Amino acid sequence: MSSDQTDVVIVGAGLAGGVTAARLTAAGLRVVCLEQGDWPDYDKARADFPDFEITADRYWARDPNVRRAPADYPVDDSTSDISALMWNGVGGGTVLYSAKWHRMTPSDFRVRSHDGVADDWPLSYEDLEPYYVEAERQFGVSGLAGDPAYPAGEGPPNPPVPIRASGRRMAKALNELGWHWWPGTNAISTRHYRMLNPCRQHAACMQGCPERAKASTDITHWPAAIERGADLRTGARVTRVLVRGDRATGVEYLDRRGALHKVEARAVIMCANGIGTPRLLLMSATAEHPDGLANSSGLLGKRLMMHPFGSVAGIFDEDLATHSGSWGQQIQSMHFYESDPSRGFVRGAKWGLQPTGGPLGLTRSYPWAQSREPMWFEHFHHTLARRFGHAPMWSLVAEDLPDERNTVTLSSEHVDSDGLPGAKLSYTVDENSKRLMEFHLARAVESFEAAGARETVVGPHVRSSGWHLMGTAVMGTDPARSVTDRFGRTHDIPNLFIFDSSTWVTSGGVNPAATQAALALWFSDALLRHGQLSRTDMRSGVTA
Amino acid sequence: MTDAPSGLDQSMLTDDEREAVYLLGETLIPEGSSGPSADQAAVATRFIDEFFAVRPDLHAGFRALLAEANLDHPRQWCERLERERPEDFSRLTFVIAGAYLLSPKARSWLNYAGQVGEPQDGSPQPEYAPGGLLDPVRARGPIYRPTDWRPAGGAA
Ligand SMILES: Cc1cc2nc3c(=O)[nH]c(=O)nc-3n(C[C@H](O)[C@H](O)[C@H](O)COP(=O)(O)OP(=O)(O)OC[C@H]3O[C@@H](n4cnc5c(N)ncnc54)[C@H](O)[C@@H]3O)c2cc1C
Ligand code: SF4
Repeated sequence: MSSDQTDVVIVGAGLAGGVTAARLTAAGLRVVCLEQGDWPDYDKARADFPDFEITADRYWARDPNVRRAPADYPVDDSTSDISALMWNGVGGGTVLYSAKWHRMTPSDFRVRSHDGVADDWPLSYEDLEPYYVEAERQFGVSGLAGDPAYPAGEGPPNPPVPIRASGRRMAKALNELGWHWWPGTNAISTRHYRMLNPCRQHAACMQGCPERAKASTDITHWPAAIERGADLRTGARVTRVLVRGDRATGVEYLDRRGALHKVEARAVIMCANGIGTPRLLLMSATAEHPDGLANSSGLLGKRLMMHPFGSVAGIFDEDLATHSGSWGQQIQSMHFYESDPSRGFVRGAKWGLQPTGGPLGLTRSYPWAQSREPMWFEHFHHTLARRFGHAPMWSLVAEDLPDERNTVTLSSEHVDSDGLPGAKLSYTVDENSKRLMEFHLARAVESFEAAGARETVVGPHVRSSGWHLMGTAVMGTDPARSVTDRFGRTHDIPNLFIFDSSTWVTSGGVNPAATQAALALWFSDALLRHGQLSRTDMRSGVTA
Repeated sequence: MTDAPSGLDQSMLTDDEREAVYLLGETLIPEGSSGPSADQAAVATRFIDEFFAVRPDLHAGFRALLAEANLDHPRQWCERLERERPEDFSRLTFVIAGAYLLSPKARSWLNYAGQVGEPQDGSPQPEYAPGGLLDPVRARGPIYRPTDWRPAGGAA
């Protein structure tokens, strides 16, 4: 077994891993990052080719159980209402994400105080605000400052993506209804900005952006981190975190040929996402830590949140060119975001108006699979022509409350290509989420009706929508009720950190990347500021 | 299903299979008042091959479906598949419609040039300037729920 030493080893080169590596190398730390996958191959981005729609889901498939690339591990979702989606490679989920970018609101951090359910975060919107601003610069976010759904402050560095005919149409309707909307905020650049190019509105953002317009950490963070000395090793699957007593000493990993290596480090930072992180910490159990590492609270792998997702499309007589546009969102609405007890549920959802893309996609998937209008046989041309270019869609991201029965555990049936156990999900969409979704879908239908849509198509519960994975190593102040402190440091093992969204206390009702990036910066700065990489760690870690 | 003899290109369809593609194509996408049928778009004769040239991974599953299709009653067979095995029906229609939409005839019927996009340069948009669509939203003022932050006692 080969062995080497570093200051910090990061597990996972996705969103949190990229942001963290860039920050820590800028501060002069030696960083090794181990990533089980590879760099994305943008030669396989086919937006400009006639076969785009038929090849899009091959290389760029979202569900690891469908994609089955060598880096993927099985995620048994047979006892989950939602399937988990992810990209296992440099850039992580940001390679596939549609780059809708939302800060959480102040109340998202205070759910217990406001609504009497779940828990408050041990930090606030105000704590994160400067980090949001910084993250928006790093990701070249486009949008407009001054959204009344948020406290006043600095906005994103680039102007918003075009509103397009569909956004204009819906904005007018929301104005008539007196409902909030705002120009879409996206991690999609509208100009030449640092390493990013202007978006060309292909509506192909989730299948490999061919323009380098979408900010993913393989583009925005890793090249700079590597330039500063980060040692990013791909095809490196971490098999366990090593501990001695209550200190982490490093990790072991398998390379592509199956050879085992060891990296000793003064600190280990988990950035393997809301499923990969608990999976690895559970796999790292020892006699001293029989229930997995950092699990004295028993909460590791519990409180999984995945944001139930719904969608509503409106079909208009006019051609609104909805096959194109940043995907992403043209406009967004948070009118029904905050809790209103009279609705019979707590919390809310954010709406993003987006294109619906090319014709093949309009014959399947959400929300079309739920349409009452027949698609095939003598109906084919009529139905398809009515949808194509005429159908904007609201996508609804709903807050789900943490529940200890929603879990990530180790699969006893499925193993990855290295023979390591896969993950098993147990997740039930609860009553609050169901009522919340029903309410929001009904309002979204109303908005299309107000805009003059001839028909609305509702996708009430999209199963294949677990793009947001949160809560499985909750942060908090009480070690008996949480896994990490508010700086991502595990209570049990002081030089083992979790910087991904496993730490989330509640899920908010917005897409998570903005908060994940801001938190990775917040955690990184705390690690640097508190000098948690002391020589003691070096002694008790590497040389122990 | 007719197996191609070993040594022959396994990605090709046999004549019988091609006939099945023709029949199922004309059933799922018959000639419409505005658009071409699957046959007019050359699905069975050309674009099915172009489809499998880029999606060889779907070939075996599709051939298995062809092998069980009741070609005397293709409409009833398709409707039953849709009702009873929606995932298989989805696989079938993905291939047939996917091949169809590769055809320039079908694309020109929809006036679809592909996901070629439209350039933009981040220019200011009049909707967002004073006097534009955002005025009423701005006029209503903040809608977020402010918090009076203090460290959470006893929470998580
Ligand atoms: C299809 C899709 C669409 C999305 N759309 C949006 C959106 O519009 N807006 C938004 O805000 N968010 C969106 N998201 C979510 C966002 O991309 C993720 O929340 C984010 O990427 C998670 O960041 P992370 O660092 O926690 O994990 P990831 O980005 O998932 O990275 C984790 C990395 O760890 C690696 N890893 C795991 N285990 C190991 C191991 N044992 N050894 C080595 N490496 C390991 C993985 O290979 C992976 O690369 C989307 C996600 C998906 C999948
Ligand atoms: S719409 Fe913009 S961000 Fe999306 S794929 Fe095209 S250029 Fe990239």
